[in-house]
Amino acid sequence: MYFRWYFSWLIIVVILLSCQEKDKKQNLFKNHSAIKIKYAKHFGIGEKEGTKYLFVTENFEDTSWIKIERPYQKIAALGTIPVFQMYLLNALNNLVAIDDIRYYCLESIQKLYSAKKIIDIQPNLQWNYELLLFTDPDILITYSNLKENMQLQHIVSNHQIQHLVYLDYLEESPLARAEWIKAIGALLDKDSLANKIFNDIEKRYIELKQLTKSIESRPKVLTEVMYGDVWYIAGKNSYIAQLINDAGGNYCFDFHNYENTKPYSFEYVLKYAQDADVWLNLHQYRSLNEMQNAFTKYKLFKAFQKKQCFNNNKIQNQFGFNDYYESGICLPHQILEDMIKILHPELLPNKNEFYYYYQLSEK
Amino acid sequence: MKRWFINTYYIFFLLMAICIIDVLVGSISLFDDVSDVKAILLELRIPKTLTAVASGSILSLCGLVLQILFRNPLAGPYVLGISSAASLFTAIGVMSINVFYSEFWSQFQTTTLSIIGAFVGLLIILLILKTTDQITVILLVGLLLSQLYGAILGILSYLSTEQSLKLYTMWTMGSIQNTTLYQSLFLVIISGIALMLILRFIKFFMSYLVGDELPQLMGMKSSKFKKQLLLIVAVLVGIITAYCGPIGFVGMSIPILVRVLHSDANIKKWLIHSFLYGGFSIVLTDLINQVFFNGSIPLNILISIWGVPLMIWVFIRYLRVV
Repeated sequence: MYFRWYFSWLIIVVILLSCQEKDKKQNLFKNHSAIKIKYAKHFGIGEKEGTKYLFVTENFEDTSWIKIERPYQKIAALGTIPVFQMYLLNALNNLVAIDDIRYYCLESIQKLYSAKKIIDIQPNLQWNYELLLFTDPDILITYSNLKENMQLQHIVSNHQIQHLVYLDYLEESPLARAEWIKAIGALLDKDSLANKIFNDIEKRYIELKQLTKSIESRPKVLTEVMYGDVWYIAGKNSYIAQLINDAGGNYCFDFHNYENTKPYSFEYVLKYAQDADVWLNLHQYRSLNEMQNAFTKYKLFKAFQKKQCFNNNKIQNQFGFNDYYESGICLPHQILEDMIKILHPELLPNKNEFYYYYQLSEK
Repeated sequence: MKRWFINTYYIFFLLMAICIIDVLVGSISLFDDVSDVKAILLELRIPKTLTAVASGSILSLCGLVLQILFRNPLAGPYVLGISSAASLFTAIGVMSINVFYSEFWSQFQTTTLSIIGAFVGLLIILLILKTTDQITVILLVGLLLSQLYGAILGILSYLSTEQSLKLYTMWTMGSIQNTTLYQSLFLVIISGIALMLILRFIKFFMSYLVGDELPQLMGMKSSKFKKQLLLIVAVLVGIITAYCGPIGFVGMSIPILVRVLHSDANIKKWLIHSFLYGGFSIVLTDLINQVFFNGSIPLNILISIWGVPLMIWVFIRYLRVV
């Protein structure tokens, strides 16, 4: 009897607790930031008693802090984005280790790697702890936190290696992702240079966005392709949806309110996107024939019939990794420029070359 | 209690009905949405349903044949190592750019590669059939070969990157969507031919079930028949793997289900019912997928999720002799 009472109370409490919906996504670090962060929500730079701190947060509740007493000299950056941002900051000589050389399109990295100035410490997704210790970095930058990896936790704490989780991929807007260059800048004590680079990106991005702001005719845009039996569709606030909107396009699935992506069937996509005017981001495909051979039913889309298919893998390294996800993420104005050229060529009459995109031909 | 589910006509009727429902159901409503109904039916729905029927029935028929030949209810279409070989070649196509640093293999389509792979696997099995007709040896060698292919695949996936690994994983989940109308019709015709061919072996099956010597005593060359049957099965599994990827579950469990439901050893009925039930199960899976999940769950996952509990229930309820 008592148990039942307790149980029902418990249920009520749980329901009430789950109803409390806080808007967690406020910018936690806006107020006490020494360096102004305009768009990014997952990191901040603060100052306490004369020492600079970089803090990052994954879920807006716990924050991890990194003390920056002096600029970090030896950085192990396991990801293309932080590495490219170090390149933009002209700080590749501070880079000692990367994850796997195959992911990188940047030529300077390939050169430094062949000159053995940098070492890949996570080849084939497997950690090589010996090489990590050999490179002896001051700070280790990874995309994932170390909760699961006891051994690495041990090494990092025993050898006084700072650890930064790079959460740029959690940011939704293109400018917010690009703003993470300020985090790298803070680590290297190159804040003003990072600010300048970001301000240039932002200025150009907003200029371009203004071009399409008042435009009336917005072409319908479809993205992505089938992955096995399903089609992953990004929600309306996603990175790609924002880029399409800013480029003066009309994203086919802008009524999808979720974050990230969800799988849907081919028919579902056909229902909403059959009459799309332009089709962007086609994974590895390089020609219309290749697409049709892989999945014959692509030809049902109007964009495919009219050959309005554009892929973003113009620059790839020899292992098939795409520069779009390396330099493009860091320099979103270049992606936006490409997209505007595709959707509204009349707005950029002087632009002849694409950075990342190209139109797929038959063969 | 009258067992309606072992009446061939009922099952056939059910299969037809579920096929028609499957063609009518999907994300796009055929009646409300103003769109090209003809294209949707001819390019999407009908090929998909036909492929589902054909692949399910062929795999389950092959499974039954192998279970009888090997006298082992755990045998399935994949014991001969053919689909593992097909998987291996597909994996080479998807991942070789990361591993061998050459684009040579990635220029082929996955379908082409799995056909080549199935063919290579078939050749190896044929070589083994040439040297022996000991059914246990063939079973063992098939399993060992699968292990070997799996090991090579392991090396490939170990050296490859996340992206291509995921692409390959998606392929292993099976798909009935990537066929044109003609290809699906071809598969249906093949499945019909397969049933006709295998039904001609009934006499052999019946005597074989009694004992190894009986076919000989009845004047049949046992080893010749076995080899012919294995060859037919190998070709069929190769074709299905090439078009649909490795579809699991159906090939092993539907024949067991049929044999549990039939308490008598009527092999003709076993064969025909495995054929019908196999087709039915995959179409039903696709229907569940369309109705409840908007077609967004890969085939192999869904079929196990609803199939395994049902099978367990059936076994507990009806099991007498497997």
